[in-house]
Amino acid sequence: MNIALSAVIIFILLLPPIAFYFAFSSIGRFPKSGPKLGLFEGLMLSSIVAGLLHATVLFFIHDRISFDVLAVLLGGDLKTFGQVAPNETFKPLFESFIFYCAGLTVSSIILGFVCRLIVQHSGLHARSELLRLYNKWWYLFNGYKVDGFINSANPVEFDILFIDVLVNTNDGTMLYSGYLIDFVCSGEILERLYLSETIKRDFKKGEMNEKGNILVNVSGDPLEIDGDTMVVPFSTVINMNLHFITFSTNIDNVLQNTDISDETSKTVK
Amino acid sequence: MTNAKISPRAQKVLRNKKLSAAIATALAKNSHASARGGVILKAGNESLVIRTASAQNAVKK
Repeated sequence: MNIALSAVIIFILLLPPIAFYFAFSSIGRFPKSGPKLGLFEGLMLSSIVAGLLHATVLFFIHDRISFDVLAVLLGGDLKTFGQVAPNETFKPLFESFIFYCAGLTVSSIILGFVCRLIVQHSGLHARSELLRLYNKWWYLFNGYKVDGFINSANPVEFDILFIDVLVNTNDGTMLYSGYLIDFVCSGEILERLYLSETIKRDFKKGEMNEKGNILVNVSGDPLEIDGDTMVVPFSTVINMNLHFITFSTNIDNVLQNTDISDETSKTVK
Repeated sequence: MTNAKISPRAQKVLRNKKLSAAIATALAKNSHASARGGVILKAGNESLVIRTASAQNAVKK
């Protein structure tokens, strides 16, 4: 029981740096996974940071601090507790301790949010691994990993992401292409891709020659897949090719035109 | 609510099933061309230019 009381007090003292960390990096969608630390390493690291934080704050507090009461509670020896802190003096000490810890924890959360906003708006999160806020798939799908924009604070500008996905199926390797409309991650692991207007092709085309039926390195004929959204589990994906698409500004005129030709020119100069 | 970036312009395209399917087919058919720069889709008198990020880089450089 005494050990439990000590553990609760230690946890309360360690709370401010943990609250700062969660406010800074573990909120929102697609947060980066936390550091891979064991319980002992985590406790030691939190203790060091919490010690520095408490020492800094105590530097500015000039009131008398009853460390003897805290030491008795942390040691778990409650036999001498009545002599160190009688009932009439313990109440204000307890209230001050709770207000101190609550104030420091709330301040840490606010500081964490402020630091997060600064890192987001300055673009530092895209350049520094230490300050990274999101998982690596988020940066890839938002145009931060495009030639010319890698390690820059800003992503490439695009309207939508068109994606070719090479998928292992029971019938062989197939190529699925479509607009990426959503994706699901669990920590740093990509779980599912949601594609719209999906087109399916054979990865290699079968052709006949004098030796018989052979496979050539040309994708097969595109086949539109009925349905609005296709889900591709990432566990079946071999690789992906991303196209960050930008439409020309006359899109409204094009949308009014129903006569859309399949004839496409092959390059944009 | 979606997690992927879809601009208002792209949302307009996605709402038009015929156009979005035509663009997807054009991009899939010409994946080598889209890798080089993009594709152009004819819609009546209008030409819709669909650029890829590599083309934008080439223009910027």
